[in-house]
Amino acid sequence: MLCLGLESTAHTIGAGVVDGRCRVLANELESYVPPEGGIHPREAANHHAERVVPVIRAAVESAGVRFSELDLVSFSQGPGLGPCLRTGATAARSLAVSLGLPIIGVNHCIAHLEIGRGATGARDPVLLYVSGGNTQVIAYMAGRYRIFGETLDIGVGNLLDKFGRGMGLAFPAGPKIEKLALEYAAQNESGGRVPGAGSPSPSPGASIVTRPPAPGPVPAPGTRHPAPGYLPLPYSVKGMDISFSGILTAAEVRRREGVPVPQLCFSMQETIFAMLVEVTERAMAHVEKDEVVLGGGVAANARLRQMLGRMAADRGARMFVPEKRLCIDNGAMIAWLGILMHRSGVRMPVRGTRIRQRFRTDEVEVAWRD
Amino acid sequence: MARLRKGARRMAQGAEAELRLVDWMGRKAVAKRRVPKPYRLPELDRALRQSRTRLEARLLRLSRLAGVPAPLVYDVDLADDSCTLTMEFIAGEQAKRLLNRLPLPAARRLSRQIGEAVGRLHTGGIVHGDLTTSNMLLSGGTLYFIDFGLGAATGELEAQGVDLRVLKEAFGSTHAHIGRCFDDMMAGYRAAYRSGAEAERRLREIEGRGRYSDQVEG
Repeated sequence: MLCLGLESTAHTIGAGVVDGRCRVLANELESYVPPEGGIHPREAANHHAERVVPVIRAAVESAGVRFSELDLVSFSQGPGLGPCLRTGATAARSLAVSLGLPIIGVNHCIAHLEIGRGATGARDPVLLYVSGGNTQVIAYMAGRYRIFGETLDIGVGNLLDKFGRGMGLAFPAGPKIEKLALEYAAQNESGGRVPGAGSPSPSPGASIVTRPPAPGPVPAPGTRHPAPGYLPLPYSVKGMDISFSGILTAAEVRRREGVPVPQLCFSMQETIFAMLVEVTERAMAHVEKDEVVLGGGVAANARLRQMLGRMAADRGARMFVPEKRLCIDNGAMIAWLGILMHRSGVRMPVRGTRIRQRFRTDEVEVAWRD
Repeated sequence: MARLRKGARRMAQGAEAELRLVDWMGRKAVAKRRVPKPYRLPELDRALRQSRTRLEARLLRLSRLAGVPAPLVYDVDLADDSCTLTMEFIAGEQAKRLLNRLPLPAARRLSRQIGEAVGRLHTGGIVHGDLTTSNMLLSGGTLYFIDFGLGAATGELEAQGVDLRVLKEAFGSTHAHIGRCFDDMMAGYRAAYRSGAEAERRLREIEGRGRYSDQVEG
């Protein structure tokens, strides 16, 4: 069985071709990069509308198949940005109708989890799904993929981009933040160590309590020189949920106080990744699973992988990370979930393929697992 | 979360802490140690474990002051490799088990007692954070609340609503006479907490949100 999957929830338009054994025959994608600032849904949708046909053609060509050999078309039904979703859905319907193929709309978040299972061999994992718009801890329980923890405000990728913009780093800011943080950790001796390297010896004289910076007048830039090393930022874990709202403001206040950007990047990463790993561990203990899959664009961050992998190892669990092109938004994962759903008997009339901007992970009845 | 199961005669290991049954000056006591997490930066790890140990000790004390019995804290050790709370061992039976085995009238009385205790807790500006019937122990007619590890000192309606949501789930998943017992619990809650009706409205609002609707226990 061959399925062509279309992804268009946010800034990426992607088309993938996957077979019934989860072999990725093609995975083509193009991303909309705004000239400045953040993503504008309509402009991203215009980009997708212009690029969707070339991307589909490229996928079919690089898969080495003919359109007539496809058996199924699937697409991201949600959650995502309305105009972007509609563009992808329209293309998928046109393709399915013109080829006379069945069509299936799939949940984008579940697609991340299923490609994680399909590509890595994880059997029953907890997924830490970290992208621009989504930050969720998902696991299978009693016929559904349930959310055991999530952000109460913005996604972690979104946080990194907003933080980066405030620090003068262009979109996408994640890789630049990672690089600066790594360089800072390597250079800075008094504040600790290269993360993960060496033994966790306490830094001399450190007595740090995590709390937001004290309110009060903001000093002029450069008037304060904080001690080097890790700078406490608000750490907000509520049960299995996390909140990022205070941390952005705190970082910007610190910047105005004269804290160097690399030190902030380092402290930001250490704080938010610790939050993510903590809620993931809590979910793993709660649902008693010993596998964890990392997915989403932020999965590319080496420090996050290192921390999650350490947590997993310490509890005798295994971590899996799919290759980068299957972690980020892509069409192959959409194709694979389309196959799983189709095999389990799911059929959708074209009328039933309306997009769903707020499509919840736990709404989908999972008929393809026992 | 670490949790004392079946009276804590054996060690328990949660995501965050380990529990041991110890002797404290001739008394049976529970030592809850927040273990270091090597995945995070040592200074951050230490700060978190220390502040949470401190907070839990404070919540246990506040709970007693609010009229809700909770283990007496014997010792707080904030040394980096320790972060241990040593507290009174409560020899009691879990409300979860009692509700399952008691005849309906007694189960209903216990449910009301639970509701009143939660009402006093919320009146006192404390949310428990993991309000399941496994975290309530009945000992000699006294109802104790244990494990405040996810709690907070807050009077926020949202946090109270989440507390009730967790409790409702616990009632629904384990107790057969859920409807009547839960109603009795809520009646006790409203009687003990002036803003109880408001918190109950917030509970319904929370249940209306996608994540919580149509969810089984967990």
